[in-house]
Amino acid sequence: MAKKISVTALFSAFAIILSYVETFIPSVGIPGAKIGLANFAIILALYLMGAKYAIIINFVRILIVGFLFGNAISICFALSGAILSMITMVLLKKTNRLSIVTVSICAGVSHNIGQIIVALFLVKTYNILYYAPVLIISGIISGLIIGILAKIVYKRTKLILKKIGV
Amino acid sequence: MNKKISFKERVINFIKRRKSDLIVIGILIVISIISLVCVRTLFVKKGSSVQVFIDNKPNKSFDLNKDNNYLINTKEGYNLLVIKNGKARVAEADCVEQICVNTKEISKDGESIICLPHKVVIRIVSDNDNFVDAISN
Repeated sequence: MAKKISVTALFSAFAIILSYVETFIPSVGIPGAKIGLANFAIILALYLMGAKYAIIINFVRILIVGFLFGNAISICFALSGAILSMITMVLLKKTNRLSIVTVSICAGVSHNIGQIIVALFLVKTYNILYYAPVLIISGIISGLIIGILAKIVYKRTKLILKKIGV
Repeated sequence: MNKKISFKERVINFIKRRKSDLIVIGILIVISIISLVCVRTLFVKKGSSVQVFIDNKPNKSFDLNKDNNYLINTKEGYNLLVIKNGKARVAEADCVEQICVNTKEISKDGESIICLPHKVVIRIVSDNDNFVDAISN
């Protein structure tokens, strides 16, 4: 148990620092489109440690990053995207028929859809939907990048974590 | 037993192994293309007025929904602006290249016809400004 808690803390720190690093990467072309680096840590945690720990890590990350660098609205946006993408990832992983890359792509798309839904409520104009296709496509692309990275790292860290008995 | 696997077999094997992945990704791509097409057709705003700029200064403005002819006189020459059935075009001009005449008629928000030799810009404007950009900045 102690080992699991410490690895959870490790992953939380990793996710937080990835969120911070991401603010240095400018969004290319599309306003507001981000690569979602933090999801790399989340999806790794999901595959290495299970759904329960991934959800805990994600919530810890959003709250800490939100309080450190953001405001109430940015926490709101991050939470909505995270909840939807968390549900998608956990359900898709349970089917056991999809690879990490596909799960990551679906997570990226559902994250952006969650943000559009919150934006619809906050702004109360359906004009936001104009951005929907762009955000879906950027979700696919960023999910693909994160998924490929996660697949490579997962292969290598799986054995290490097994060795220390997590 | 060290049989060499041809490229084709490898591709087929990959598709068999990753069938469900490919289906999911395919569905997502189809959804994004459909939504792109929907948005492009639904959200294109029809403009409401035609504005004429000469040498970057606003010259005159017309209602797009009223048929109208207007002769734009500049120092360099003239352009005949014709507004008909909610569409604007340049019917005649005495510029050399005739690009403005050959531009197809405009009716949607943001579209423009430009005549460089005469420094004339004809632009479609809509009354309600773009709310999305005002918020997302």
